[in-house]
Amino acid sequence: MTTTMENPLRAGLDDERLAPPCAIVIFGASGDLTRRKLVPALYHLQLSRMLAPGSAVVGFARKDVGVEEFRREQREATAQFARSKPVDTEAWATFEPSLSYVHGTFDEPEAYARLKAHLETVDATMGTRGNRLFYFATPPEFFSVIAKHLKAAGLVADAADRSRFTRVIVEKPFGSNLESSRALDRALHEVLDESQIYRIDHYLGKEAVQNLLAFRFGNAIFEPLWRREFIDHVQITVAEEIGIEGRGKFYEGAGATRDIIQNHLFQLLMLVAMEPPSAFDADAVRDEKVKVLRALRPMSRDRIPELTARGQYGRGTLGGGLLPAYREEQDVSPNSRTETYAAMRVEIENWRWQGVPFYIRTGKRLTRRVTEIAVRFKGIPVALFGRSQAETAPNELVLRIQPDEGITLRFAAKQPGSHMVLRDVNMDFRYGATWGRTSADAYERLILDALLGDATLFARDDEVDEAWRYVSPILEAWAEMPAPSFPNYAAGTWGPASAEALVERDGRRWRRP
Amino acid sequence: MEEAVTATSVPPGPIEVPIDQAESAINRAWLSLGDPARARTLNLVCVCQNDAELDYAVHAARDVIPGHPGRVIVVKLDSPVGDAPVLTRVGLLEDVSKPGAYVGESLVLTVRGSAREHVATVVERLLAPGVPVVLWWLGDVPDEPSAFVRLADRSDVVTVDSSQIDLTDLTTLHRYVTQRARPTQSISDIEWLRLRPWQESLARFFDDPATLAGLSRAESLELAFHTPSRGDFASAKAALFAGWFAARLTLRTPATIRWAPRENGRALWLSRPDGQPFALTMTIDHRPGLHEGALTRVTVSSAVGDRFELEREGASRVLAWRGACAGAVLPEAVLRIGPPDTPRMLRRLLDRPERDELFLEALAQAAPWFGGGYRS
Ligand SMILES: NC(=O)c1ccc[n+]([C@@H]2O[C@H](COP(=O)([O-])OP(=O)(O)OC[C@H]3O[C@@H](n4cnc5c(N)ncnc54)[C@H](OP(=O)(O)O)[C@@H]3O)[C@@H](O)[C@H]2O)c1
Repeated sequence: MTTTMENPLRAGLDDERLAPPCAIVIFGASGDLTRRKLVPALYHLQLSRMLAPGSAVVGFARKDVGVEEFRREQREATAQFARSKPVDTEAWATFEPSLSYVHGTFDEPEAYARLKAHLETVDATMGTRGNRLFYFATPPEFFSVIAKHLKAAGLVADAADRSRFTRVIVEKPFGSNLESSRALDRALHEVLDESQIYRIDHYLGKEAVQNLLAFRFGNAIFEPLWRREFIDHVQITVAEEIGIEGRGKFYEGAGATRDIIQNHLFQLLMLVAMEPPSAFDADAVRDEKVKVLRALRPMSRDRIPELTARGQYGRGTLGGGLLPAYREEQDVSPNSRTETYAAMRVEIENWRWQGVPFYIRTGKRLTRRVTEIAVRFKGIPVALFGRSQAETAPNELVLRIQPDEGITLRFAAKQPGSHMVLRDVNMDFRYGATWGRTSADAYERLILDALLGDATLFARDDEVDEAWRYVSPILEAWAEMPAPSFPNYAAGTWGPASAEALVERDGRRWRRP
Repeated sequence: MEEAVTATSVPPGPIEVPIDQAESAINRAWLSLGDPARARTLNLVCVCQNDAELDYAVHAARDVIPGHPGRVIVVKLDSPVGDAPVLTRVGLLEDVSKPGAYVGESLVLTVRGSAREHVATVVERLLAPGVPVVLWWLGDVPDEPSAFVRLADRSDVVTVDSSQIDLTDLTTLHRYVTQRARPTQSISDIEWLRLRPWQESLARFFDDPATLAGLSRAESLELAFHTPSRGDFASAKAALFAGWFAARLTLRTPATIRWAPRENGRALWLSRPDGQPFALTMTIDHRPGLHEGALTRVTVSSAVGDRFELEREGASRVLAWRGACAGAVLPEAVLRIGPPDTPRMLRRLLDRPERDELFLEALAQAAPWFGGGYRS
């Protein structure tokens, strides 16, 4: 954005993070994501005056509806899904005229010609200056198709062009294994420079995830302890209470590892384990993150049964209600081998983490919805205070991502009285209680970042590639190995016995979150 | 972490105690809630001079503290005559959006007579340790600004509200900045924060290289504002806006300040870096319903027909954004600006309490324009 730099009135105002004028084109605009997340996020950006006047939102989908109908649908969806309700009618009235619609299928060249003509009109009437943010909110098989057609229609500006920008946000999943992710990358790179590609992982847009970086690199007291000399092991949990919510077709082809571990959980792993970056910018941060994945010790096939656990939920109860088994869900095969739970013991082979196991787990229909990182420190060398001290657990630091974001530190303290009796106490810090305000939705933050050209909180090609390189052989081995007898955990519990065995083998236990 | 003996879910209502018992009264209030874990991020010290300001400060503090938990100390500087012991009303602050969640503590002090002299030391004893001090000075900066200076000296962040003060107070503030302020201290003005949407909207015109050329040709800035009651020909807001614009464009102020009369206003001739004259015009634009001094129109123009204009629709918070400039596409747009309420501005200030160089620049530029003899 060299033009911005030269504007003398702009200097010093940038702390507001205001997006430059841009036409935001959503492919898949009749879909669920657009309705539930994207348009509400854009509306909130408008409400907080972070979108430039003259920003335009263009929906693209195959339904042949008029612009009025599209606006009406989005207005209704925003009324339902906006995080602040009711919708501010005045703000919506300013936002609505910026919404327009182009219909077409993703493989139809004429549709892109129509889109191009439409965008030229938008430039002339709204002042969007040729800036484009294409959002691929479509099934993944269309990502490369759309990119190819955009290029053919002359809708992609060169990455080096300083007068205007073209950027693309790509939704997840980014491939379903190493091979398909590489094929997708090749297809996108034929059309776009890596600097134009924003692979979204909405976990990175969460305030609490960004706070992980703040916690680690904004405090001097923890970082010296953040290493093998002081840490016994780390547990990362992404537990969901919900099942597959009618998305059986999608989930059957995915499973817990593809759906959560390869992307969200590995993002958390990278942020916990990375070295301090030299700067808080996209490349410096992502350079350090990817080094963590590069240092993962590959799992040899013969150790996969010992170092991983998978599960699928059967019938169970939660909060008094009866829950169906996974195999009884809509669009799920009655013999499905898809895992709804996965756990792994991951090792990072570098100077900081050698010998410190990272136990990671995720699952659907677990007891409670919780995402957290628990860092368990080593025990004390000598117990001075006798038996009660031996009963206290080693120090533990828990970084809770959701639902109630916060940090808990467990330490031992003297129980009041004339004896030297020690007890564990928790020191609890809750964001919600400290800062009583709601933060922006992850999509708001990430769309704004993409508009501003800041890719720090998006996954880079090498991160995605490394994550698949680690996970793909495990998935392949699982497919070839005899399946565990699914279902192997009841809905509403903390997962299969094999997952317990995974940590108990090392003389440890899962934390009950 | 210790369980209190008589925990209830409601703390005692605010109680009046002698100042030396304030701290223990606060502790008792927390204990009555079971001594919950509490976070303190700041001390917010609000100084006001009458009951209306006091009510306002208490209300605003209640609004911002959930986002910035900590201790609020509201000081009312009462009559300078008639000595009386300093009484403190002490209570806990509840997060209005989450009943039952207490996010801070409030101490309201009335200081009169000779105690006014020592207000800074009175406040100092009550500050929560280890967290920054934010001073919010409501109303006029007094002619004899010693209380202001002493409190400001002890604060990390100092803010006034120039919508409430005289234009000469900008000079007082500027003097404080240049003569006393520490380099790490952040000095700000709530009124300045209210300008941000206007600055932002004006800046947007020039993000495009074609319009940027128009800016370098500009020969005048006209600011229209709703009549101030004090008969000034400029409002503090307009003054700071002009100061910002002039500083950013490195416009030069003449050695002798002479405001020439204009229809409904005054004009001052500045000069551009290339030596060409540049007219700064302040125009009174009566729009009932607006706050005193609120901007109604900003126009940047040149002799060759460039024109960049922001105009408020009536007394609303809607701006028309329009312009004409050779070689640029400037479709007219409608912008909404946020409500200028003080709690919102205070929250913004607390969100980003760092030193605001832009404000200091604007203040340095504008203060000399109104140094004296500015009344009409
Ligand atoms: N929904 C979520 O909460 C969520 C969360 C994370 C990631 N994602 C990802 O976001 C993407 C979109 O998800 P979604 O839930 O919005 O899916 P969806 O509801 O199925 O919507 C898909 C969109 O693509 C359009 N489409 C499909 N095939 C098309 C074709 N051949 N030609 C033209 N348009 C076509 C659909 O149009 P029709 O209406 O005409 O079929 C619809 O607009 C997926 O990659 C998904 O993995 C979604």
